[in-house]
Amino acid sequence: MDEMQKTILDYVKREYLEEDQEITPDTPLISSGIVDSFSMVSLKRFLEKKYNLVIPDDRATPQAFDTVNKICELVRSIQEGR
Amino acid sequence: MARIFGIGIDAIETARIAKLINHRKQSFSLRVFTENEIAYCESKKNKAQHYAARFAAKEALMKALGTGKQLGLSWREIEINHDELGRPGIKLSGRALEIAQEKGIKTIHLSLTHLKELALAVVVLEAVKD
Repeated sequence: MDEMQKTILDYVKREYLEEDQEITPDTPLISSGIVDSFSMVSLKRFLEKKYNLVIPDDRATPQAFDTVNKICELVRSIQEGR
Repeated sequence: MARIFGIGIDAIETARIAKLINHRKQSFSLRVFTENEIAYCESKKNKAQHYAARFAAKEALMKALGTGKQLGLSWREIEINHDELGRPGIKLSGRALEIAQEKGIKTIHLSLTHLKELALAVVVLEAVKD
């Protein structure tokens, strides 16, 4: 697991999971109900602050946020200007 | 003639909203609520309930449109307002307005309710009958 995966995974676990819940970078977050649309707002804010970037609203979709790996891909694509 | 295009409902715990507006006030509020909504809610004694009701209304609207957050609509494109009698309404802008127009939405009906613990909103969309 790379640093970004670990950072985002730790945040999701800390903010949205019960103590005995475990997730992996491929665990569905939105589609499973772990992260709802309200939680996506705070998650988006965390990512923007942590990685010093702006995630456009039209890219902040449930699909893009559904797993830690997909979130990492979104963050990297914005960092790389894709 | 009109037809019912869609219906949406959403509920949210007031405490979740209170936590964000109290601890990270500006950055959260400005992302989700318009200046008009903020001004209205901040004027209220139980402002967290009003913020929560407005958040629920935005969610309910997106559900009624049938898009959810799939199209990445901006929260601020869905503004909750009220008329002189206090009846709540929704004003759309930007991409949210475009989508509503594409779908032939003519009237948006909104009802809100909020308690200390929970806020709830229901939206019914009327479209032109085909």
